[in-house]
Amino acid sequence: MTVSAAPGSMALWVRQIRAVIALEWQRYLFGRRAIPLYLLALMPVAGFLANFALRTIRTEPIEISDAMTIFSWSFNLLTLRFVVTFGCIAIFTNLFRAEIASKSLHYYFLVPIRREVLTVGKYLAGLISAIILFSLSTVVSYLLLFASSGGEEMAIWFVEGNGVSHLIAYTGITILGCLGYGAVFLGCGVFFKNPVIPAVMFYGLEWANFMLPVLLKKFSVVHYLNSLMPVPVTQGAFFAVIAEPTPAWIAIIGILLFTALVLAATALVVRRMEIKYTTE
Amino acid sequence: MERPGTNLVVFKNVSKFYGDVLGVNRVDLSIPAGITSLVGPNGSGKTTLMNLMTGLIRPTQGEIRMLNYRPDRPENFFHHVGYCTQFDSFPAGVTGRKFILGYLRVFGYEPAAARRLADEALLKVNMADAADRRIAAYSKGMRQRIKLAQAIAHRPDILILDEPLNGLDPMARAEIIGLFRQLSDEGQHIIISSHILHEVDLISDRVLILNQGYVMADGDIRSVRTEMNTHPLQILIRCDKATLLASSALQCDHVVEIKMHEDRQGVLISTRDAEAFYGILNKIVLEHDINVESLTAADEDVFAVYRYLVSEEGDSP
Repeated sequence: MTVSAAPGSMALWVRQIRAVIALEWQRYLFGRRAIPLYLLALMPVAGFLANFALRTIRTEPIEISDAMTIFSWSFNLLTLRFVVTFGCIAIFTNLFRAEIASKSLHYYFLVPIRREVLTVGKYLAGLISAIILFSLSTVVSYLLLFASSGGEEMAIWFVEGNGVSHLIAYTGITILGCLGYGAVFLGCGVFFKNPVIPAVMFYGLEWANFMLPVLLKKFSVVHYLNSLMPVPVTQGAFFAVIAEPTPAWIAIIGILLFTALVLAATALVVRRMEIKYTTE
Repeated sequence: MERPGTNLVVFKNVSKFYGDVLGVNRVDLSIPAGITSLVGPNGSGKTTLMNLMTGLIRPTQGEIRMLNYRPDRPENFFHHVGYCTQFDSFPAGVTGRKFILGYLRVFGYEPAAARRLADEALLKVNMADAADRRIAAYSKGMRQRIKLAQAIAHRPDILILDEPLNGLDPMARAEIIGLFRQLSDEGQHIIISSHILHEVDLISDRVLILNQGYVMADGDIRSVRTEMNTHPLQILIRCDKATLLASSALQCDHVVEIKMHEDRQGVLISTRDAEAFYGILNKIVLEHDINVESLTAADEDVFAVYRYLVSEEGDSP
């Protein structure tokens, strides 16, 4: 029995990528591995839920302008630099590494699929899980915070103000964050036997981004993500190095290009990868 | 399925080192169609050789081809080759059916075709009834069979099996060996590694003996044994006039040793020329009207050949 799509054809690759995604994507949403991810994703949600409950009980609605600032800070410090980053570390470093640890990666390597196609399939599977979890976290957090302003104010903000466009922007930044960090941490999981150390080093650099010289800032993911923020966060610390935000279209293309380059390098390593479970 | 007349597997000067540790060294071999067994103790290089064949590891030097496909080009290669490794591990949380079906979909099969192939493979290994249970709840024998089903599901031309009889009870072993025979009859070529020598001996057309990373002998077991001049062939004869047979056999130049059984109903004869001895034996039997109950080559099996080769290796300076 033969495969109906021609060998090496795009149709076959798409079908194989879909099959890899089907095997992989649920692992980080429904398995035991998903528990810490849910806890991460719930952190900002829990904070804004508590805020909503308190303000509702005390009947102290939040001002829309305050809510905009609070969400921008919360999104920048908690969601982007903590939830999305650590979530992506947990998901993407494990796409290959967890299968090496459980000695089941060889099943993929014994199937007529190009290793590059397998890498893309696994990356997309991780991306789907990350986007579902963290975008949902962003959306629910946003809605909860602005719900604290009272029903009428919230309706005005969404219908006549920038509520919807800001929500779309924050969700888009979350997705771009998953794309960029996902590629980096997938690479860490493939390049290093212990990916935690390089991943944490990268995380440290991202955190210290506000102190880096302008040129070095351009080589970080968070710089481009910050450039897309609908409500800019001031880099207020006295030792911060202020860099001009990158135009949105360059920031988006930059992240996509960066993702493609890291994925290509990762795929090349996966192509040469050997199965030596005992020495890993 | 067509049986190719040429060699299925070709290794040209292949070596594999893990750092300073030798995996296999300067292997030149050609494996023809049929069932071939890799025999050797733990650490002899059987798994390394199989992993090299299937591209799970890459040679430090040399070139490998299977059916003229290169193992480092999986997109064509694995349509023709199936490999059942000895790793007793599976993706977490899957049932037997989903395990097979999932990887068949990665081949690129349409869902209906994948389901057909999975069902067919599950039937072959007698796992259809347990297919919808989680693999984590399977016994060792069931796990071996589900791995085997996964390796044969896409109907490969060559099936490579690393210690497939490990952990199976005698009933299951007999069943699986029967399956190998069936697959071979259906036209699949099988390369099997095992240290259960007598079972390998029963099913193999050809044997490849490995020790410490080197191929020590390969060919059909009888010709490998015949070429070992340093170890005379032992022939065990059970008969009613064993003493008479022994004294007649002693007249032959090529007979080097004779041992009588305690019950005087059998004799073990060591000869350097088995063909000549069988010719003379007929004459002795007819001449003295000896009633022969049984006649067997006592050391013409894989185990004996392997034992001799390894001891020779140990004796050499």
